[in-house]
Amino acid sequence: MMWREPLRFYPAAVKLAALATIRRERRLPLPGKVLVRRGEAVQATTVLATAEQPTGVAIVDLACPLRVSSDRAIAYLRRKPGAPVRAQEVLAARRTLLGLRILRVRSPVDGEIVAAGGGRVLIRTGARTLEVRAGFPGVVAEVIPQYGVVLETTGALIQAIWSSGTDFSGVLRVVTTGAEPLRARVLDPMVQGTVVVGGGWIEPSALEQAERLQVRGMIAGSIEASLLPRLQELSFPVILTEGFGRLPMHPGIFRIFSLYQGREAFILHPPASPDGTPGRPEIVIPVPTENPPPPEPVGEVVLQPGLQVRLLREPDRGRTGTILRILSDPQILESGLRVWCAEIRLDGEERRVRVPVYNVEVLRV
Amino acid sequence: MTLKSLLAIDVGSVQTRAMLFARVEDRFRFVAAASAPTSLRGPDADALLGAIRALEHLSAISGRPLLDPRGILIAPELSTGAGVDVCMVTLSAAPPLQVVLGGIAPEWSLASLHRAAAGTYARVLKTLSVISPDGSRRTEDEWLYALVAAEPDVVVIAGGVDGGSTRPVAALLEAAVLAAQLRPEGERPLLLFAGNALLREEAVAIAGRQIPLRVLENVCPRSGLERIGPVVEELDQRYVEQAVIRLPGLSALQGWARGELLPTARALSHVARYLSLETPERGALVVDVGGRHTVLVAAYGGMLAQVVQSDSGIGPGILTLYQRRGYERIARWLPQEISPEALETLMRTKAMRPLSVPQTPEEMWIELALVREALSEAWEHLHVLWPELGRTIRFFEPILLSGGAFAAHTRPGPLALAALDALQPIGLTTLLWDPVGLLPGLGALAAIDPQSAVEAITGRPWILLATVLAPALESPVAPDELLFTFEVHHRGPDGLESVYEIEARGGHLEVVPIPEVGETELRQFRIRRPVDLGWGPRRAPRRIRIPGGLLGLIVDGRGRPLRLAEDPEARREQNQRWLWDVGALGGAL
Repeated sequence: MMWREPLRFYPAAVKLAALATIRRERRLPLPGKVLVRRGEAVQATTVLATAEQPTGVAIVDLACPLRVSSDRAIAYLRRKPGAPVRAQEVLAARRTLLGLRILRVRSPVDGEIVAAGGGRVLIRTGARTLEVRAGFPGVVAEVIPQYGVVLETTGALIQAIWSSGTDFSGVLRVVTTGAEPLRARVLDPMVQGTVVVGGGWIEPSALEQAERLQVRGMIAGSIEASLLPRLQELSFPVILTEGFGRLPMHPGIFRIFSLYQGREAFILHPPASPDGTPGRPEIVIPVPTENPPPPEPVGEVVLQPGLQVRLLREPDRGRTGTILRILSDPQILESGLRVWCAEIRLDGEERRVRVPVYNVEVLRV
Repeated sequence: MTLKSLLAIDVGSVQTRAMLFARVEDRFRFVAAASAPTSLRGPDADALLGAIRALEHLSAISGRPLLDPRGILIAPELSTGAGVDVCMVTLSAAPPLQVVLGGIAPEWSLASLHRAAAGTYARVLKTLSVISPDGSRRTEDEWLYALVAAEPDVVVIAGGVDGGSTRPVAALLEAAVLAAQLRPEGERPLLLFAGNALLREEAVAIAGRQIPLRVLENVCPRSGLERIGPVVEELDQRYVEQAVIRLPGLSALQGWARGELLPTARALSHVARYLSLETPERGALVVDVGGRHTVLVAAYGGMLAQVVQSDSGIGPGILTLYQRRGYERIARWLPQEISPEALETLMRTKAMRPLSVPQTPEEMWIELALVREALSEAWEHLHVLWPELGRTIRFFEPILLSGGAFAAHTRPGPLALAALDALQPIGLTTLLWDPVGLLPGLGALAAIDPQSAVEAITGRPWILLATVLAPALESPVAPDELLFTFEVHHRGPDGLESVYEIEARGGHLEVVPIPEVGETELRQFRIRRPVDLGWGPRRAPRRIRIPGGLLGLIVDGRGRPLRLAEDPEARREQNQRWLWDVGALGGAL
């Protein structure tokens, strides 16, 4: 038999670190101006960089009011592309009736002439300022000229799977003792203005109660997909760490939240990947330390024995376990597929299961 | 120089697949394939990394070193047998081009532009028409606002036969150029002009030096004549150019391929064209259901009709496909009951974890239900764009199934059933199956070395899944009603002949195993009901030779169009019976 080098597999990985040095790039989508310097300490609300993004456009017809063809109209233009104009300023004028009458075209808006052609003028009417904020308190580790910075902090990092909102922050308040569902009755008036954390899935009653009590946000393991339309109507964002359905939060994640109960958490939404896939929401809980902790794990993970994994598909979706070995040949699943598999011992029981190598997500603790 | 070896790398939205072809015993043939996740997600996105991981697997499987210690492709092939002579890259992982189309009227040149765009990785954001579908004329301001809002990557303007009127099309060009100037240099859309030849010089003058313009052959040079090829080629080229800019690592891969980067859909069309040469009177149909796109290519009589349906597949595109088609359409193909809640949960899970695969039969039935709907949707789109296909499309021979949705299966019965349900061929046809996902590689090979491609394809790198005999019924038939009978005559290599009679009954699928070796003929057709087997009503040839195949002969007596029971419970039983018929529930096939 021919000797074959063992194959290596690189499944997706999710980070859960109770204490690490965390670096995040915070950048504008288009070039602008960076407002902070390397080494500067910033707050979550600090504006790191700004850029001007054009917003509106006005189209002004010259040919018709000047009573000339489209081709000739541009010859009467008084301001060239690139020039600023004010509202009511004359853009173009033409003398008629032996010079006795002047036909004028005035700009309807303040703006900048961008282009002229086809008997028309395009005026850019305004710009809005794009800002990129720090999102979490930290120190500017690097400046990316024109675009933004790399920000650094120490603390806990949890990568979630789904979010209904945008970046926000708030004080953590863990309201369950474990993986029990998040229900209305565990939410008392003390949760007002906090980020509520539940170790199980979210019941509909909890959403109504949280809305009444004006929570800042909600973090839980999962939620039934049928409640998604309801989430869009809520005044607060919801973050899921596991997915949809009835999946409890991973105990390791729940422990981190419990450990940092009462601290402020910052929820970030990384930009979409180059292929258009939205980034996974991240929860950063800054914790000042005397000595910098090790950096968060980066790069790919090779699937190997000993790694902690989360199972992604039925029949054991949401369960966690430890990789025992990568099987040396592809296996035929009950579904009829023939794929490479790993043998996994499920947490909390002696049962071993064979799972496709890409049906797991490595938990990088 | 004779090509000794070729590496084809297909960068898909979910998996990157590496395929090795080499000259073995004087014939160019497929050697091995391997895949790895396309590493374009997260902060460390790098298309090259996915390719390197796939090549590591391929080296391990084939025993041929393909990468040097620095992780760079060894090319050309060394005397030790390491490396390959040539590398080709096909691509579908990049987001589709955002396109605006402009023309005089929806039913003329704009229809041609829609056909051109449909065959590429392009999303049509807006259609600007001088005359709208309700007959009213559009104003130039409306076009301008539409163009400004759309922010397209490409604007394609056509209109007017050669020598016809120029003014309306010139106005469209002016609007496109004006709107483009609003965007910063470097982000301005490419302007493609494929209209009236009289306007070419004026188009160049209107665009000036500020707007990138390519002048192409008129898509409709005269009434009744269509030439969409140049527009398709330009859209392909722009897709690749944008992908190289947007996807980290792709330019390095392009370097390995010495610039030879081809959209996957184009590679598939090369294979479809080749297959259609073998059956020119019927044409070939190639279907590919991937992670984010579904591609349908019909090649017939020297023509090519192609649809690339974006946001449709069994990976990242599964959720939008599900949302477009809806719960009822998916659930109608299932042999088991499932709640909308559970189905949506599965769709979201798969969309978020597109690399994951079904482990249970129940999840496999659901995935194959999505495959049916992806194919049905693409089919509907193809039919709308090429209405003339409506008369003939179900007679294609062969039909080749490819893409991630058809890969790695060990039970071909459910795959054949999914294809029959969605495509509903009529008459006698063959289902071919590409379980390894070779088609993009074969198409890429055809693009650079047609002779080697012919050698590789002649070696039948795909599997003959089944021969299908599916009658069209002139009127509904009762379940179990006898439609026709025939005899299967098989002569083995030892000369022994076996004969068995087959009864085709309404509502049933009959699977007749046909040995791979020997000769098989269908004879003695006796038509009992007004059916059309593809030779006209109630007609049948005296004898037809058919090949063997993995499943053999499938006689599909369910009628066309396929009628599913209206009662959900009865429909589930129907699906169970059909799965049983093709061996999917019995475990045999």
